Amino acid sequence: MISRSRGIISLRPSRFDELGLRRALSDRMLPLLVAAMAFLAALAMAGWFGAAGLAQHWQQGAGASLTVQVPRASEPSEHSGQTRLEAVLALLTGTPGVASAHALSDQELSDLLKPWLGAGSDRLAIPIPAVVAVRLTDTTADLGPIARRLTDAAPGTLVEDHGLWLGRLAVLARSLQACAGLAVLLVAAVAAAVIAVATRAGLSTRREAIEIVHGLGATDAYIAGRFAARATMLAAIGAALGALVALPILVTLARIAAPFAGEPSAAGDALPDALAALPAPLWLALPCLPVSAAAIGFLTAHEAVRRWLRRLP
Amino acid sequence: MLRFEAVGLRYERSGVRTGASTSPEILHDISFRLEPGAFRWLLGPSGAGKTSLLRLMYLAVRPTRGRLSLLGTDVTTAPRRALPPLRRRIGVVFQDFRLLPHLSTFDNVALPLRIAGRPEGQIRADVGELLRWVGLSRHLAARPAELSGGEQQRVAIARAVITRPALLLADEPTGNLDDGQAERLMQLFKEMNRIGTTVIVATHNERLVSRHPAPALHIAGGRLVASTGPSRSPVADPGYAAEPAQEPGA
Repeated sequence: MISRSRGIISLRPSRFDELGLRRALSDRMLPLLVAAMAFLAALAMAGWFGAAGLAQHWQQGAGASLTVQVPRASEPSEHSGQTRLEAVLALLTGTPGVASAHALSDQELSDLLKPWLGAGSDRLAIPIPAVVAVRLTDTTADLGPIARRLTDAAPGTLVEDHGLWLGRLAVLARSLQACAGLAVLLVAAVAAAVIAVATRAGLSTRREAIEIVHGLGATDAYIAGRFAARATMLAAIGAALGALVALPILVTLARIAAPFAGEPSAAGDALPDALAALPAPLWLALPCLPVSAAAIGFLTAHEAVRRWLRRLP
Repeated sequence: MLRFEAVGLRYERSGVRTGASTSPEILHDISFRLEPGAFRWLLGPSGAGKTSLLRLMYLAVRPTRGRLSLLGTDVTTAPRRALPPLRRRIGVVFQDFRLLPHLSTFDNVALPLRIAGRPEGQIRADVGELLRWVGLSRHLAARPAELSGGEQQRVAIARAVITRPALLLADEPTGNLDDGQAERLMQLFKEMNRIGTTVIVATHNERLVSRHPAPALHIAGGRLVASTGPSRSPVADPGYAAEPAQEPGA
């Protein structure tokens, strides 16, 4: 029975669906389409962060390191009583802009060559040059003079600047990042279009109800608000669904990609290990998917309905 | 209150007015004025333009030409956003009821109050009381499809009067009612009129009109052809149907 308590002030019932939108904007098709969009957006965002991480990693490496190879390292230098390697190391450490110069040990060298020569590289009768890993403080330094002085001290010494290749890789990574960003924008645009189409379909199926409610004095904002609330909810649910489905795939990809970014590959199968493989920015970006989808849903539906309502007097 | 000055109306094919339309004019040079608290029958043969005239009055269309002033607002020049508050002061009983099929009786009647943003407690009390009055308190949860034609009509009437409108318009409101119910409805209209609501009732029901004598707007061929009324004469109601009387051959 109806309560006669006049004093009660309550809000409009939340399930009051005067426009019949629960059927017009179905809870099946729209959330599924938005879920697919959110899934693609999650992959693109993972691509964006992954490419950004690689670019940063490679650029750091490129700017800060070069390799110096010294053949016949243990032979005496021509100009001093030192070995050729000692002479090169002394020169490098005395050069401004060099942060460190580290001669790789036999073990390190063996590890470095293992992929190409196999485990027994140290037993092969191949003269292997000594390798010095140099870290620079000044990434823009001109390497020409250093190279000339090193060749003077120990003829045959090679200075290999990683900058060129790593720079190219960084450019590649930045391009991939741009593509990923473009994909995210495109997905957002397609999601908006899907929501606009669904809203227009809802408008035409509920035309009579809208006209009745309009005739009873509902403002455009009232009617658009009903549609927008429904579209917002469906888009948010869909995007949350898409993000959840994407999560295990992203974790797997992150674990596969970890070694390329210079991180140890997560060996453990435990859930915390698996989740930790995902970069922190992606953890922040994933919850943004339902929020962004909700915003796109609200704005698109609101605008579509207001535009449509202008045909009514 | 309600002033028509040489109002003309033509529809576009979709039912929406446009200035560039070349479709024939439905209403021509309608001029009359009603003071607050007036009661008028709207009479005329089918297709004469009664419904179109009512549509102008409940702001479903705007005039193609002339000037129309409603409840103190010139609706020919008013911005679009000024119309919803005006519509909330107008109650309409449609010939085809125009109830929302997916809503219960209670929600259909509560709809105008919810659109107006009234508190839910007040809505429950007012709607419950009115539905008891129209004899539908046992059908609060019923959908329109579960109600008879007469019951649906009473829901439509309850929805039209729930906001205590300043202007009440009814298009054939007794079409689905028996004589007893029609009388009860007329009592409601007269009561609304007595407390100051302007009431205009379009009908073909001559017995009803003869039982409740009141001034009438006669419309034929899209023109206001005459005004009759035992209780108020055109002289006592200045501006009333003045223009059609001056038109030769009208």
